[in-house]
Amino acid sequence: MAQTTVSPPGSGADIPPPEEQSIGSRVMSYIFDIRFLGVLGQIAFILLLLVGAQRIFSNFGSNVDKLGRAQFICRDGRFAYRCAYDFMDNEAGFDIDDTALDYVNTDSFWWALTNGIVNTFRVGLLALVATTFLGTTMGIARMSDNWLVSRLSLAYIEIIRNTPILVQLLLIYFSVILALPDIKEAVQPFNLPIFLSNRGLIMAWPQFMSSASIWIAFLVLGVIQFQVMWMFLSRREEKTGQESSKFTWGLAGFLIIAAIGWIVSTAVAENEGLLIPNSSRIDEVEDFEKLMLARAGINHLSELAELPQEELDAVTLNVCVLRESSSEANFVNRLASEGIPFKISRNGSPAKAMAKYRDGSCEMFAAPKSVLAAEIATLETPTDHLIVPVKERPLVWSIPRFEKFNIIGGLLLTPEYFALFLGLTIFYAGGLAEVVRAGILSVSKGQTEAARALGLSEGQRLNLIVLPQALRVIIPPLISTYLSLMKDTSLGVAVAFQEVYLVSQTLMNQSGRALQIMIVLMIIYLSISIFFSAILNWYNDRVVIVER
Amino acid sequence: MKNKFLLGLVLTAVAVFLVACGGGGEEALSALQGQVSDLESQLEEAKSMAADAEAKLDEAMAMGDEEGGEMAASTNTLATVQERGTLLCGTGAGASPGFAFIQEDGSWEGFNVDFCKVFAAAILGDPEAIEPVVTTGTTRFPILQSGDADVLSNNTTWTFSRDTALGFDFVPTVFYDGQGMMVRADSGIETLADLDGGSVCVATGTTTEKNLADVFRQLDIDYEAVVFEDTGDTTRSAFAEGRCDGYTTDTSALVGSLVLFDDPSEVKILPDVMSKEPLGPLVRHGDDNWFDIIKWSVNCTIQAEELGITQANVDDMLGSDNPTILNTLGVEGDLGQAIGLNNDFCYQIISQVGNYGEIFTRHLGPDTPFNLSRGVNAQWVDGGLLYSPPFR
Repeated sequence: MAQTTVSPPGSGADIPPPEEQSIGSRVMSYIFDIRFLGVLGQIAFILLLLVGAQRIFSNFGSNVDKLGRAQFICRDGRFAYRCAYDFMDNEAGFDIDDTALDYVNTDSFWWALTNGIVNTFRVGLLALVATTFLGTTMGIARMSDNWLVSRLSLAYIEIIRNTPILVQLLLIYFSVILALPDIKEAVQPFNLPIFLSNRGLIMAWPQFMSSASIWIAFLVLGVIQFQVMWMFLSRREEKTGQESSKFTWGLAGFLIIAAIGWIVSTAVAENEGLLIPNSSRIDEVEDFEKLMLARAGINHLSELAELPQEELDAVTLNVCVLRESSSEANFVNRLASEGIPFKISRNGSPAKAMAKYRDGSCEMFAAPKSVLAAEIATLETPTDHLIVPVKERPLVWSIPRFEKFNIIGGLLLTPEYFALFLGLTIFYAGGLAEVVRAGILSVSKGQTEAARALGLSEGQRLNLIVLPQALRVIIPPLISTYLSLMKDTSLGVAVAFQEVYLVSQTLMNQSGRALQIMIVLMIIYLSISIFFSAILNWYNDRVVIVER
Repeated sequence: MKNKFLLGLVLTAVAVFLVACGGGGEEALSALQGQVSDLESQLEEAKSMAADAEAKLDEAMAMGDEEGGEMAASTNTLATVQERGTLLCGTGAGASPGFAFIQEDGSWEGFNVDFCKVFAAAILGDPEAIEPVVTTGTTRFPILQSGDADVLSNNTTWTFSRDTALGFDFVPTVFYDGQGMMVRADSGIETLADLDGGSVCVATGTTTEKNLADVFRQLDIDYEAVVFEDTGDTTRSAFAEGRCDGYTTDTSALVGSLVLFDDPSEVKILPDVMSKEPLGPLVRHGDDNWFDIIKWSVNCTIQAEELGITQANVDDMLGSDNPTILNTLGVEGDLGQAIGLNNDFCYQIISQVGNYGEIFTRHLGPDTPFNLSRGVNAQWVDGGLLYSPPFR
């Protein structure tokens, strides 16, 4: 406001115009006034912008018209633009295999898209963490006094930063991961249950049984106990000065409670069962050994190894299970630990398993008791069959085992996931290393010298003096690195990892609604970016030096 | 004073914005909806009064065209193509041998590319006046919808939803295909059911992907689908590297891809056929004349083979005494004019590109590495499915 009175618009405003000045020259003086031209330029720019926007919208509108009414049909067959997304409730009909959530190809398009989003985060967040560690390490190594370390780091940064990420990604996928040995010759380091092949990394993984809820309740109790114990011992220490190892006591209490929980939940668990015909004369799972011995006509299970292959095949137990069920891991572990030969037939639904049980292609069906109780009623003579209880522990190891083509069980990291994770991490760590280096260099040398003069160790100097000051320079470019990384997860399309972009590509094709999907996709990526920059900006506000 | 000026500026901007958008926003939407309901009521009338139904419909169409405004120009594909002098033909990624494959010198060759040439010969009289447009499974439909291609000739399967909801029109099928499965020869897999527990490589955005899910669900087969965005040869190379136990796509493409393997005897194609895949060219819905042109160009190649007209004898046939042949080649009658072309459009196709049988033999026949038999792709008189309506 004050400024307005000091310098009114128009250069000639202050000085009364001389008599001889014509109206024309007054107008000219306005026109050539730099402030007037500035405003004129802005108006012209806004008009240009508006015209451009109008063109884009009308083009959009005519394209929507071209797409035809069929794209906007409601469930009741009527036509309305608000029904543009009704098709998303339809059955997806395509597969997404590597998912964190339960997905089958009969689920809706929405659910398929949701799985894509989860996959994007699954790979993006892990890559983000790994990038931060690798990038910081490389940035610090680049400035190391050790010649070899700094040169190696320099080579890494220069090579990675100066080649396109897509090339690196394809190289990692096709030339490194798919070049690993075939699944039949999977590498097994140190004979651990870990298998590395061109079908990915597969390792043993704990799986919760349904009785785990009891055990988890005990674990929660244990954590509370730890807190209480800690507080109690601290108080006593304050009052009496009597020192005690708080952590050891707390941990001991926790372990005792966890162990009790384990025993209790094992004892009360009665969820798992096994459906078998009465004629097999098995009343409990322990009878399997006897059955096996009788079948093979031997005295001890160890003699099985000496049997010829055909006889071994004849005595092998054929067990039906539900695919990916915890009953499978539980029962398989049990049979394996007793050394009983078995063959697993995995089924998609209880009905399919029962069909096999009826026609005799499997002798028994292992599943939760509740499932079996419902299924036994469908048999012609339910009294000829019985359900034998199977013991379970709250947590069982799902151990990978070879089947016909693949390794079943355990945790699978697919080559596609692995390739995308590695590609993103390696590329963005290269960029981040330079950001970190710039941050460190921004801390004046005097700080380092002062730290050394104080006798701080190199580690202390880095952690306490240099990094905290470097952080405020690092954070802003770090934000953009993170954002780019999250957006580049869409490169999963190159290595067949079904993140949200690849899923939406498939969606677009199966439904033919390119426009609708594109809009959703833009909203998704925009939300991800805004979400991340909001968090990081908040953090940036905290570390920034408060200026007065 | 400055504030007032700013206020004025903002008001001007708002006014300009309203003027600019008012036309395109809600008004257009309600106008469109009104137009639609108009059309619907007219259709109702047309049904009740069978006598003047056609007239009413024509009227309704004319109205639609008038109000389409800017659109009207772009819906006349024939005029656009003739003005441009070349045909934009979507031909795939250029990596399917036999159908559309980029040669070492950069030119395109194959069965599908020849059909592009057929259209160019019919419309422009020059089979080389084509511009191949690279399309993938995912990009092909937006490319055709947006007008970046005039016609797709890239092994697209004719399905209900693509013909209707997606807004396309399919011309007669030029290749009857079925989905097949390729496995390694030493894998011991004899039927689809043997793939239980295995992995299958498949390209995204294709009918194959959905068929795979449907067929395997029905067979209750547990499998892992590895889904590639197929730009070129990625799906097949992943299979070749051992990522999957099976590789599925149209059988013709499987046969074609055999030449890309280091040792084709290491793989085999299962006898199971998983689906019907009628493959043919397609155009945007809404330009009926353009649809007719493409449809009858394809029919011309089929008709010519049935009548025994080949590239070699087509000039002699001009003097034939068979009226059917004379009609087809445009010596008699004025069939071509009805679709806005010259009467000799079929003559141009046969003399410059050849009939269906010649195109098939040239790219897929016994002298090629693929050695496909005609099978159901034979003329109806030979027990096949190819049947051209008469040129009359």
